[in-house]
Amino acid sequence: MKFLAIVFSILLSTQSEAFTMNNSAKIVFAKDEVAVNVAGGFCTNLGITDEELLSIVGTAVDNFWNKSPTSRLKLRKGAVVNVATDFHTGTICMPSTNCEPNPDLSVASDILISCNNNAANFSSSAILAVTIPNNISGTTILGSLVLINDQASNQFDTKARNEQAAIIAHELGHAFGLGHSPVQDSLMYYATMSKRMALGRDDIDGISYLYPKQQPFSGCGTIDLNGGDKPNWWGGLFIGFSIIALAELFRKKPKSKLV
Amino acid sequence: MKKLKYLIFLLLISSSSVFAVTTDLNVSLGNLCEYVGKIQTDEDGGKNFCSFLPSLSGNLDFFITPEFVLSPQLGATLPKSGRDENIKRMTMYALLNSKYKTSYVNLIGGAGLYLTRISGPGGEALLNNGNGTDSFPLPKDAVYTRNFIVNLGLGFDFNKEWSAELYTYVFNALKSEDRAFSLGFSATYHFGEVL
Repeated sequence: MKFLAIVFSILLSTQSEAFTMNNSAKIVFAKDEVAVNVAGGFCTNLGITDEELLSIVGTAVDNFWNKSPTSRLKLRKGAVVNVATDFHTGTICMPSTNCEPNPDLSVASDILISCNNNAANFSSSAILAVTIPNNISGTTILGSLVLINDQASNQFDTKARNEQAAIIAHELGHAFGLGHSPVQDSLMYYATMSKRMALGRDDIDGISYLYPKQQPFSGCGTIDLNGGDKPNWWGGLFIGFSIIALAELFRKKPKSKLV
Repeated sequence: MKKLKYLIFLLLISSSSVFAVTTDLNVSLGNLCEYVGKIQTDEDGGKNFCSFLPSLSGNLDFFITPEFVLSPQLGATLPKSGRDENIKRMTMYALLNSKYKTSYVNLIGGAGLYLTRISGPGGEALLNNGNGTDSFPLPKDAVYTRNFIVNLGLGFDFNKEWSAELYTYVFNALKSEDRAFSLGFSATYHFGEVL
């Protein structure tokens, strides 16, 4: 499978196209809530603790992706987890491949963010992070990996906290299936922006395209009572009202005679 | 559950008796400002307020009493490009509004479904990938998002034929994290009881 998801956040020029996807198969998470976990103990050069990184993740999901009104996907701040040191030192892709995921760094479920110091992942200090959905079944993402540049020369730690949150949010966009946007005011633009405060229009269109919200019910007459969408009684009330109104609309009225 | 059954029972009872009423078919033309204050629009962190998005809707008012009106509404916005011209967006909505009419001002409240259609041209785009360029797939099939929205508004009757409305569509009213507001205004022509 051709992976197009190695995406970098640095600075350069512009082009004009629409929001894009990571992969031509339109791969997505099957569930509506995805946890974002942080690999513990690896951020040696970033100058932040695991808890601080987790806090930045919380800001990233709350200030950006979870605000989309038309998307069903919700990212949740996860936990600090212990993983193998390969996540700190390994390459995200297998060498000499078109970025075939390194099986040693496969993420079992949800999204994992790890600091990483392998120079093969970050050929320049301007590359802040790389991301790949690296555990895929068919068109379903099971797990995605975000690696943050933790080399001594990294530029991530020079950014302000809100910009770091925007960088993480950008990488999370790749992790759940979005590619880059050509539009500069979009979070998914390839370059960082110091005053990134909210999603752009293209971002909302992108996440809504991959994860369209389906209210008041999650599917066509199905209600998942085991943690999925809850039945929405207001929706039922509206449908009841509509049926009555339509019935009345099409009810034949006796024609009044002109005198 | 009991509450809901009670409400539906009340609706059924009322539907059989109250609809021997006058009606008013009316058509509204206006503009919808989507997701006010929710979208970044420039590099300086500026956010959106209103952009050109014409909307057209048809309403059928049922005068339950001279003051209280039930008003099913079907409407759509002009199909338009997204932030990028390759993305096509269009919204459609089906609402059931109620209106309380005073001499000039109408209080409007309702709820309904708001559909957003998003589609793209397919193919691939060559985009900057930080350290070079890469091909990224563009969206192809049309996708519909479906939101249950609450509508709150005010109407002003100028005369028997013309009125104007200001309204707010509230998305995800019960969830603060992705709650959003779209503001709209419209001018309405009333055809009266033509059905």
